[in-house]
Amino acid sequence: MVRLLLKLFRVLNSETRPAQISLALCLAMVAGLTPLMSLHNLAVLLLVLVVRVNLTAFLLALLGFSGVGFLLDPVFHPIGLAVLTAPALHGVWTTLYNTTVGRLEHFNNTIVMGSLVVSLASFVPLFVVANVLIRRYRDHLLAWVRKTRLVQALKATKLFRAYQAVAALKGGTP
Amino acid sequence: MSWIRWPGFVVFVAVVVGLGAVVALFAGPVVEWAIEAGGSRAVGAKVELADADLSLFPLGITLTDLQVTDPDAPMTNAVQVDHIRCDVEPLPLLRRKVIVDAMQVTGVRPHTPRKVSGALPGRAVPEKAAAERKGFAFTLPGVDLPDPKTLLENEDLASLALAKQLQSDVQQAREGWQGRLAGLPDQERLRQYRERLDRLKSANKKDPQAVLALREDLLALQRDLRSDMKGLEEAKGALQEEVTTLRQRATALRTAPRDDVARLKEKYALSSKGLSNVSRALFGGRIGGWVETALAWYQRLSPYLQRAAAPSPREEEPQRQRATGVDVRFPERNPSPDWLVRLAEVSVIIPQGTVAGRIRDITPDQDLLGRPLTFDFASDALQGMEAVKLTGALDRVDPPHPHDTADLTVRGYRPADVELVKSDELHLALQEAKTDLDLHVELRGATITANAAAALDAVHFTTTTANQGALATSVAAALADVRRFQLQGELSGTVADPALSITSDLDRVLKDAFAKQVKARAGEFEAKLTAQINERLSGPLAAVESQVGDLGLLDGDLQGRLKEGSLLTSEVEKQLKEAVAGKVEEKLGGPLKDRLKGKLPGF
Repeated sequence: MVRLLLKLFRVLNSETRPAQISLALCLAMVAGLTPLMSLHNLAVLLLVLVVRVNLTAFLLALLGFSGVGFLLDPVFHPIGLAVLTAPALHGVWTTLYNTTVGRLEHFNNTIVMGSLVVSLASFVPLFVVANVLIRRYRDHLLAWVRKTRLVQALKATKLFRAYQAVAALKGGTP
Repeated sequence: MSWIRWPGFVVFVAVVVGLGAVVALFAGPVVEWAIEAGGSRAVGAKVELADADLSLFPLGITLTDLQVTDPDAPMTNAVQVDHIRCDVEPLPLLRRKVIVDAMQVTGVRPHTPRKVSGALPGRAVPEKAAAERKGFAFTLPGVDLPDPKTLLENEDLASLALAKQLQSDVQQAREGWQGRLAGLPDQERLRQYRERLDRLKSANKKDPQAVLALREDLLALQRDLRSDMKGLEEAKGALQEEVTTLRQRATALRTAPRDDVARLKEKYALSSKGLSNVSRALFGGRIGGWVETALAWYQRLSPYLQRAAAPSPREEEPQRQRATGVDVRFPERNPSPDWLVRLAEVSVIIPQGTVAGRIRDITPDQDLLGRPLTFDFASDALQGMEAVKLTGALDRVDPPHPHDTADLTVRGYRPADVELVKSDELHLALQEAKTDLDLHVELRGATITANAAAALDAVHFTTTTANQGALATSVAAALADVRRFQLQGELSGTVADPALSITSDLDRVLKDAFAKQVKARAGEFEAKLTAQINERLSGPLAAVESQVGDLGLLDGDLQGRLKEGSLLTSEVEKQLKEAVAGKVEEKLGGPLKDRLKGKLPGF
């Protein structure tokens, strides 16, 4: 837990670009809200690894969004059912259903479709909001957070010092 | 800063390969778990698998030692299978289609014992045997009749009720008549009449005016007397009529026990009706158990032969499990089943040997495939059975109108020591026979019809008894000479509520044997019952007769009053005639007579 918190602060406080963190959050949202063993999550994994997004932010956010996704299943089901049974989209889904990729993707499942629609619809808004929030945090809250007792206590731990030493060796900034 | 990190692609490939390796490594245990969990849920008892081995080249899976617990008997496997090998077509898997070209199922053994219970935790195990649950449990009609004395303690006798009713009616009539007689002229009233008459006798008969007054008084007395006499006579008639009716009812009461005896005899004693279908009693329990077991498994497996209807857009899926959602199906350009076993070669091990067969086109999507599931099993190399053949089809090609058929032919089956009846009085077994059986079963929707005809030859029954009862002796004697018989069975109704009918030419043989015993016991029972009822009825009957006799005494009282009244009436008439006609004329002569003639018309 301490290690995770330290990583979170390290990510937020590092000089990693806000867009890199925001994009990691958005991709984690897609992978976390939708069933993990879905075909589209292979694409997400490819993007996460090839595009220079913050991996720590991605993994942390993936944990959080997976839990949220499980809780939101009752919401995803009706959304997915509505989308899949919309008469206007029937032709699209029929075509997709008759493709190997479509069947592997299991898009015709209400939870898969509902969670995918919600996560894709939230992708850009979350990217923009996360970007703004990270910038504001760094501008206004970073100095205060560094002075809080919690962070001071964390920094005083042996683990943090060891981590700092390793990070210094790697050339990173704690 | 560049947004692309090419080494990430290498990592991606490594991750994907790693995931594939993990899947290949753990697919077997996952499949094993899926079969055990899904099977247990479907069967309602533990389904266990020793091993599931996945092979990639060729793609397929081998299941070892599959055990399916009988949910009605958790210490028994309904079926145990040594090996199942499936060869799966790889390409359809990409489209989520599981197509098994060939499946080998070897070592299928029904009803094998288990070392540990296969009951699912928290699931109640039926206490009764399958045959006992739906009215298939038959027992031989007993010939032990209840003790009449004990029996009558729990029975309401109509004759006793009639006696009590009659007692009450007689008592009510008696009270009614006592009240009515009190209102009728009694001895006191008659004494008053006599005093009036005596006074009139001593009246002055010389004075014409007094004679006229006397006559008027005598006429008034006569009218009063006649009126009261009329009332007394009417009462007497009514009383006699009621007493007669009550006496008739009392007489009828003596024969009332016959109805009670007949009713109780019908209720407790055996009659020929109960003996009309001994075959059902002998074979019904065993055959009924088979039927029920077969139908229970049919009902359990039927849902897997036909896919449930897809959800409509406005219909919430009620059974949706969390995190699983619902699959919405769309039209396929080349429709094909989601899973299909084209051919399963099955070898079933039964006590007589191995029966091999084929099952074709196992799929829940027969409407897409356009063919029904068909099966055929046959063997002519069995011990204790010359040949057996089972063919049939489970047709769901037109889902709203399922039509399933099965035909079983057995030749030269030699059952040994088949227990038919096991009771305290009788233990009956079919020690040996040579059986030919033809069975045809047809199900259309929930409606079932089945016909079976069995011919048993070289039959030898054995009977043993614990107490050498008369029934067992009769049965043993009757069956000792039976060497062949025919057995017919018919099943009708619905799968949920089947009706089994079994007939045999054994019925006549056994009915005669039973009937003789029943007749003897029934006669004995009837005599004891009649004596007991008569004893119970004797008290109330004597009381009724005594009460009716008492009521008759009232008639004597009325008779006395009427006699006295008649005497008085005669005297009044005599006085009237004597005083007015004779004496007056004699004493007063013609002139007064003439005057009186004008005053007394008809004088």
